[in-house]
Amino acid sequence: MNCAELRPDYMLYAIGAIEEPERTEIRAHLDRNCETCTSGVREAMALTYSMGALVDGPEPPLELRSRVSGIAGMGARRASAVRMPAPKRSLLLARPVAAWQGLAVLAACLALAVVPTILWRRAVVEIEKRQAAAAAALADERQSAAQLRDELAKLEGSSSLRANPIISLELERGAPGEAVKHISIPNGVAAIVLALPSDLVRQASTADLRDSSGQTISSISPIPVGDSDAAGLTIDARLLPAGRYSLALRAGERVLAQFPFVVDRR
Amino acid sequence: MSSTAIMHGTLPILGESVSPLAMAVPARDDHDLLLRLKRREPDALTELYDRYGGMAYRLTLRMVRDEGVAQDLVQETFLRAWNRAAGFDAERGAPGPWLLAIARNRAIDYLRAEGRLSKNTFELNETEHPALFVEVPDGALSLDAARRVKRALERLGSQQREAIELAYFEGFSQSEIAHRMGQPLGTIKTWTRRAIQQMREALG
Repeated sequence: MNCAELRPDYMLYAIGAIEEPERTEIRAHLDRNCETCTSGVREAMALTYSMGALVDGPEPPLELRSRVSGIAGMGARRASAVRMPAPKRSLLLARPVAAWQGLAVLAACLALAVVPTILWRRAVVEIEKRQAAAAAALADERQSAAQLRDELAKLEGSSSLRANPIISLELERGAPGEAVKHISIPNGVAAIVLALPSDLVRQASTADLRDSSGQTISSISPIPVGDSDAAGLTIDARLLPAGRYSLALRAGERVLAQFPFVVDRR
Repeated sequence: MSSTAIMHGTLPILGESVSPLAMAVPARDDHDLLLRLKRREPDALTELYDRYGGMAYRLTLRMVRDEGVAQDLVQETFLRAWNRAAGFDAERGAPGPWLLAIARNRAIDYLRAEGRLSKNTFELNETEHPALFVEVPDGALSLDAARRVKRALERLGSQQREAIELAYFEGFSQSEIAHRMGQPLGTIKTWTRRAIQQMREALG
């Protein structure tokens, strides 16, 4: 198959849903570094990423962050905690045992019965060694688990981490007096992330956070904007007692846009 | 007037960097982060989690539908990333797609081992064709792009959307989707191709 015929299936390949013969065909193109197919599947992967990146759902629990941090700090072996379910039992094992197979098993048992005692003794010693090693490993695991528990307890003891430390708000343009967006800040929140249209942020030289009287509480200049299309400004939650605010984006003295919002405290 | 109260992207909290708008992080920050991961700096893994852990968790949870399993699989995802970061091209690589591909593969492995998935589904192994994870098209990984794709997905007809979601989130092959939806395989292929075309157009 040529690249044009395979093009509609690049994304199905990227997500693993494609079937034969297209699967083998695309793989062959990739294996021989076909530029068209590599580029097409790469583009499809970006599309796939977009699908996965904005899945709705809860935030992960804070303890997961500690577990991931522990991977680097404590070595990979202890971090490998995933318990995959046991594979389904093969149907082959459920078949009845044939007569000749039974005889073979009986012969093997007889052979085992005449194994010299010394070999048996060696086997016992080997088993004892393995048991001792397993016991040592288990003790090591228990010690590691205790360390992890202690670290987690320290983290959980921090008041800043007991609550969700960050909340975010996507701002909309409006006049300073308008209450376009409303945000409730629970106790324990450390920061507010304000999402802004990146095209405006790129044009702006300064971002001013102003209170209801128009006084500037804080500002940043220049605004560091990366290559991303999205921009986020993170604000220390302590700067935002209940009240009305406006985030102003300026290019020099000219105000490009204002983003009013109202804060209340819980 | 303070110039440090407002910052872009990240904020140090309790000595650690937290970045809730993961996709708003500039690409050059990702590049620096990858270099630090390759040097096996422990903080780099935590920072990678702060940027992409939420995404990986929500995607995994959507697939396995069990919070405990999702947590284990996300931990396994970052373990894999930590162990394989040395082989990743930090000059050109995009860690987001790479990490989500690992997370999705972990979830598919789990579903397959649990018997909820047949062996027809295959994984695009994140190490097999590394070129696929680098030089991602400009803008394709932005928050705006993701929103456009999400909106395009929501605008699809219900059957087209179901077919795509069964493939992506459930890990079903086209034959399995056809069986599940009671449609001929050819119809499923047509639906999925058309749906993908619409989503691709949404990316521009």
